[in-house]
Amino acid sequence: MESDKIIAMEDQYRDYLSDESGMTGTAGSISFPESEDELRSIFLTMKQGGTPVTIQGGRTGIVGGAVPDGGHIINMSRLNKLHKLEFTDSGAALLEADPGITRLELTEGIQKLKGGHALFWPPDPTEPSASLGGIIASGAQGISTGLYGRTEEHIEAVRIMDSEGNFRTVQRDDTDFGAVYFGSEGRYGIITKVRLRLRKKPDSMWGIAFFFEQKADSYQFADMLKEKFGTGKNSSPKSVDAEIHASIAVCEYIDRVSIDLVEERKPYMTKIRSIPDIDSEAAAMIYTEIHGSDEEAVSEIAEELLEISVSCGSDPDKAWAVSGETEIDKMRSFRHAVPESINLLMEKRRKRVPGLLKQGSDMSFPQMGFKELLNLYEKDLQDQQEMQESGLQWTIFGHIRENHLHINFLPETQEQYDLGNELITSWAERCRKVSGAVIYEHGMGKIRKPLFVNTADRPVLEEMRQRKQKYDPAGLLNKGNSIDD
Amino acid sequence: MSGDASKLSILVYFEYHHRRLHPVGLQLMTAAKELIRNNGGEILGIIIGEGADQAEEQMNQLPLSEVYLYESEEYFKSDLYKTLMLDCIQQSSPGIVLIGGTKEGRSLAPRLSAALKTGLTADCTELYVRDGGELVQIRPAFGGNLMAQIITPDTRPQMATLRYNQFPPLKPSVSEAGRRKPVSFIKRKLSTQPSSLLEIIDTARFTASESIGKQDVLVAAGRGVRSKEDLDMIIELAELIGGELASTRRLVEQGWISFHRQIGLSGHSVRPKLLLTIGVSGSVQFMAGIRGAETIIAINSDEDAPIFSAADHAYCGDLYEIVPALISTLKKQNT
Amino acid sequence: MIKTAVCIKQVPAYSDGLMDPNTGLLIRKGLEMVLNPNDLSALETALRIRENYGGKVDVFSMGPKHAEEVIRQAYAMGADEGFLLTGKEFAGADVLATSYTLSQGISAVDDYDLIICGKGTTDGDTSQVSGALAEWLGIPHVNWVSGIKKLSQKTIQLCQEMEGELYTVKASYPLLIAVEREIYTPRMTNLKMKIAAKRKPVKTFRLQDLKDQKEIHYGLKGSATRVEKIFPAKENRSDTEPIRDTAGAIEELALLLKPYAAGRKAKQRVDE
Repeated sequence: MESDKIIAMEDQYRDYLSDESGMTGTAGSISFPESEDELRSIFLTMKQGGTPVTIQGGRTGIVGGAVPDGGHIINMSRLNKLHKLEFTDSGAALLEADPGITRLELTEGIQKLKGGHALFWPPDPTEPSASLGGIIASGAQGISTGLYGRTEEHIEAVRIMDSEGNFRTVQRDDTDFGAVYFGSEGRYGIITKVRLRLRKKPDSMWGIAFFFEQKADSYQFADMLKEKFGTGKNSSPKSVDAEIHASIAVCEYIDRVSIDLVEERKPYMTKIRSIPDIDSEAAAMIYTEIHGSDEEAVSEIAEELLEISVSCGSDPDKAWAVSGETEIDKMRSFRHAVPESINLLMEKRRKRVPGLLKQGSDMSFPQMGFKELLNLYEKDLQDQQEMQESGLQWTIFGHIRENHLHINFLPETQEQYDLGNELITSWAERCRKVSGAVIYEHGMGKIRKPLFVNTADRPVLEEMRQRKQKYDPAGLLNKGNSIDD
Repeated sequence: MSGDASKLSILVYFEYHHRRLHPVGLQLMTAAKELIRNNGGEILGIIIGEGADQAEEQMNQLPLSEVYLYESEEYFKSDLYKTLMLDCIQQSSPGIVLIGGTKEGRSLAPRLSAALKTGLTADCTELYVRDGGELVQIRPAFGGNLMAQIITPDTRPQMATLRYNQFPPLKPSVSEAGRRKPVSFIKRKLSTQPSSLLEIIDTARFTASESIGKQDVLVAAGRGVRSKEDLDMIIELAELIGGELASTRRLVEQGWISFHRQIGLSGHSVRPKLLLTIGVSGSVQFMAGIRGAETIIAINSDEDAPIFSAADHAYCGDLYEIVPALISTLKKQNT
Repeated sequence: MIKTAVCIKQVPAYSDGLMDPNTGLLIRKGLEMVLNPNDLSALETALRIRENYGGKVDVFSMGPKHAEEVIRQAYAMGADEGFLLTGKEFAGADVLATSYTLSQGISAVDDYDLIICGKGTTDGDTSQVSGALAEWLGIPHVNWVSGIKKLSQKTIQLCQEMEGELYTVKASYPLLIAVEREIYTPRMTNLKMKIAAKRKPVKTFRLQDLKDQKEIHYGLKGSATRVEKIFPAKENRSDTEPIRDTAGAIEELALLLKPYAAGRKAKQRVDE
């Protein structure tokens, strides 16, 4: 019945063989289902022939999770509608959405819903073309979890189609949700609908950028922020109206190499073009956001931050401060332009050396100071003779509060790439020892799978094996994303 | 004076520099001719500039009753040109004044309208006239999503600037001119020669920045284009319609086109009046950059391509058939 | 010492996407308001002049009370004093009435050497207020200013981008200029000044504070144009069915593109 929906792989669909990591796979056919029924019948047709399927969202992942390993591609981009927005008796605002909707479409769609203009969905993994299903499957967190909580706290339920083609709804509080479906990269089922929990937008938002001529000063500032404002986490409220007085929502570190990469691209990126060049003396910047229901309280925190920054050697006349959604969006776009520019640079380098994939770390070291963590990284990056000899370049940016930094290598040769991998592996080893998260929010996909398998505890791996056996014994779902594929 | 008071008279401002008429003048003529088509009326012209009288020959081929010529300075100066234009309006009392929506026109018109304490509607895309000579002016509003219909109820003249390249140029015709009353030329000289407080001390040829974010016409190539060499025909088409080449992220990744020309989330957001997409499927990445485009024409071989949902004119077919044929048709039209 | 007045306006953050695609109605509720992006360049121009030659930078705006926010934003960039023309008498103004109101406000404060406007607003999108304002003030004006070549206490030399030609214009003060967005990249609002701006007063002008207090010269009454109606620009785009007949497509495309091809030819002739 749906055979006409299944399109043989042709040259014009070659984009769908890769994702943002730069990895390219193979596939025999592709489909773009527009309803759950279509999705089901396509899947069952494939299942009948024993053909594995790869579920794709926005293909913005950086570990090859959406890259097909043969078989059929089910691209979810046409399952991208928003459905009803409901206000429950307990005051929650729940919105049903298709998994193929992008972060951008979601944000804009919410504004246009009746009663939606004052609401938002807090998780912001910064890439606007990431899909909702992909965010859930990779366990993406983004930059404001410190205040609003983790992504899973903003999901009420997901509807899953299992490997038999049956549908069921999994609530957030069901054990299956966190254990099986959230962040499991499509290994155990296909997300076909999502019920989101929305929040009221904060009345006041300030975005502040501090600049430091000495990197060490910025580390000190970061540690003082953590000490003073803690994790600041506002536990997930049941009511949409629950107000936050004023709190730090975002706290991001961006090093000079990252700034330079963005500035090279800036004139040609409309959304950040109007941001002036950053003082060439700045060795690092720290971007913070303060959100709250009370403008006065927000500006009080801003004053406190200003004082702390001065005590850490930041020039108070140079700090930027913006407010309002549009300006904040612009600053977030700047922050997002960091990984974006890195990916674009790597695309260019890959033209010459095909093996050079996106090479970024995704580890969180919760039990450590920020300065301590940076010193640890820098010791390896700057002091090691091997690094000095190879000339491998790197950038550092990421989330201060979770001690979750993305070290991105910028290799130009295969040798440099291999060296980068060695370093990431050694950090993963250390991360595991201090009970950190080796893979925090990007997923392991196909590229980081070996790293995960090598550092994970045996019982964890065993559990994953058993789960795969239980939910997808034929191994048809997202082949290549499971540990034994 | 232009005679019968009940007759609609329209004054058209012809930009004139380096002894050449700016093309917008003939576009204004098309609009003016249409306005008097049903109920009659007359069209007057005004030329300000150095060697204004040398435009007579060309003016003779247009359906104008009178043309005012003001011998003046070569370059546009808002205050000086306003004074001369004001004199012309006082002499001819037109019911309607049409000015081009060019840089010069948009600098002159508001100054003039304030001097006349009358209404001005900017950048009109459609005009018609009601009985009694009331001008109905239609212009895009709110980013082009909506149109506003505007009138000037009490003050005269009714002033409008017309969007450049919105109206086709009126073809000058010698044979038609032969059947009309000849154009009468009025060379005006003010008793005290007006001067300007602005001094133009230098001019230079200049090409507007080629940034695709600022272009009015863009031709965007996508992955439907199979090789770098094939871009040549896209460029040729772009040049033919006065457009600039743009591209999807894909072709930039291929290394075929510089990232300066990339449209989309990680490139430029563009706001052209016309966007012609060729072989572009319309990824989320791309679509986010084209929302400001006024008119979108899309050519693509996949009938389900998302680009079609954004297009005003959608053509499903092989670009390798359509583009070359289109180029040769446009070339024929132009000769 | 150069005294500069900058005209700024509060506009909706998004000039498009204002319409509900389903109902065709304007979405006004919850719409974020910002300082017109083009005006940021005007303000930046003024601030740079002050930094290099001394003087002051005042800002003027007309609008409802909440337009104070954009004046505070100008403070956070470094503006000295801000004036807001507000009141129901000023509402509903077209180009003529808006420019007149601004001229009344500006001349009530000082004899400025320079008035700087942005290229146009993103909501009205007419680029017409600057020229009309200069006429009311009785001073010369230059639009499309893309650079300042020389500046002294008495005269200024500007680059004016006309079509295909770049003029270097010299003028004495007082003068009004409207600058292109690209003239300078506007600075970011500064944290210290943003905190201070919260307490800095905004001077409010009402009708009775102006020299001409005749109500019929302002707002809707003082406007020479009337908007009769607003209607959707075109059919919903997603209803367009692609045309599959190649020969027909070529014919239709040639027709659609003809004006552009003709305009381009004419343009070339002019440039020769």
